[in-house]
Amino acid sequence: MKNRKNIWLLALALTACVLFGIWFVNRPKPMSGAKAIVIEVQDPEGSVKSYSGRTDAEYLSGAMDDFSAAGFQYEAVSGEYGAYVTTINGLKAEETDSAYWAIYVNGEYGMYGIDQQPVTDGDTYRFAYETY
Amino acid sequence: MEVRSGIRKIVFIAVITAVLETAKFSLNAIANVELISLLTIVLTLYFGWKISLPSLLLFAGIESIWWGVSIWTVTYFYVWPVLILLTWLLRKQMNRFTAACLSSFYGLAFGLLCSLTTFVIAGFSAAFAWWTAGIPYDLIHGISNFLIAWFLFDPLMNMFEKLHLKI
Repeated sequence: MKNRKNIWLLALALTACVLFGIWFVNRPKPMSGAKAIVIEVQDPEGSVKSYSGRTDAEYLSGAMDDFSAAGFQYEAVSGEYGAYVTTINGLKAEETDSAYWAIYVNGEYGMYGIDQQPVTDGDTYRFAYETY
Repeated sequence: MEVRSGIRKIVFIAVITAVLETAKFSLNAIANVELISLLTIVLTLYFGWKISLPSLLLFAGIESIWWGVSIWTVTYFYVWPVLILLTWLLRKQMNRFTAACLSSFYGLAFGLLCSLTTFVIAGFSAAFAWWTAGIPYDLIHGISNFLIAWFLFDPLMNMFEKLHLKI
């Protein structure tokens, strides 16, 4: 009887430990860095997903790499005016659809590619799926 | 006679559902500390699943009306029947210790069970993220369920025995 009790308790403790381990491995990792910024993604329907965190990156592309831990995914190619984004979170802006990912810095239309856009503390960078 | 028995059963289920709701509201302020798991075990042992199952389903329905239909209210329609089934399977070896262990396991697995709805709606990644984010609460749930059942299982069973509440 006592053995059976011990087995129950051992199984409970093991389950709790396994759960804690799974949580520990997958727990949200705090981002470190001197600059607190927000990256927003506006999809074709107009809904916006927001990622906020901290970074030490000098340019936006570096910050975007840092935000990958929070689930922000992107692809970019180098162009004449710096790197430009082609895909965000799996959504590709196709040239055949006359679509592109526009960058807005604090609501103002961005003038630089992501590898030239400086990152400043407190800034909000929005990627908006737009057509021309 | 059969009609009287049916009415008696309906009234009984209604009263038990009211008790479940009261128990739920009494500890609403403390996340994942609840009396419903223990009450489910005790009610299933004492009255059988034919009373506990409709009571818990009615309870889930009232929760959905009260809080609105959402993912977590939908989960109530299958998570409590799972506990009823487990209690029924373990009914012959049930005592204070077994009830505490069962209740604790159930608390630890609560998030995993609830994530099945997210899995169906949004897929594995979303369900896994949802489940892992809630594991600290599942651990609290497991520990609190063990303690609640350990201290209250015998008093509750004794109370029902003394009241001679039989359908």
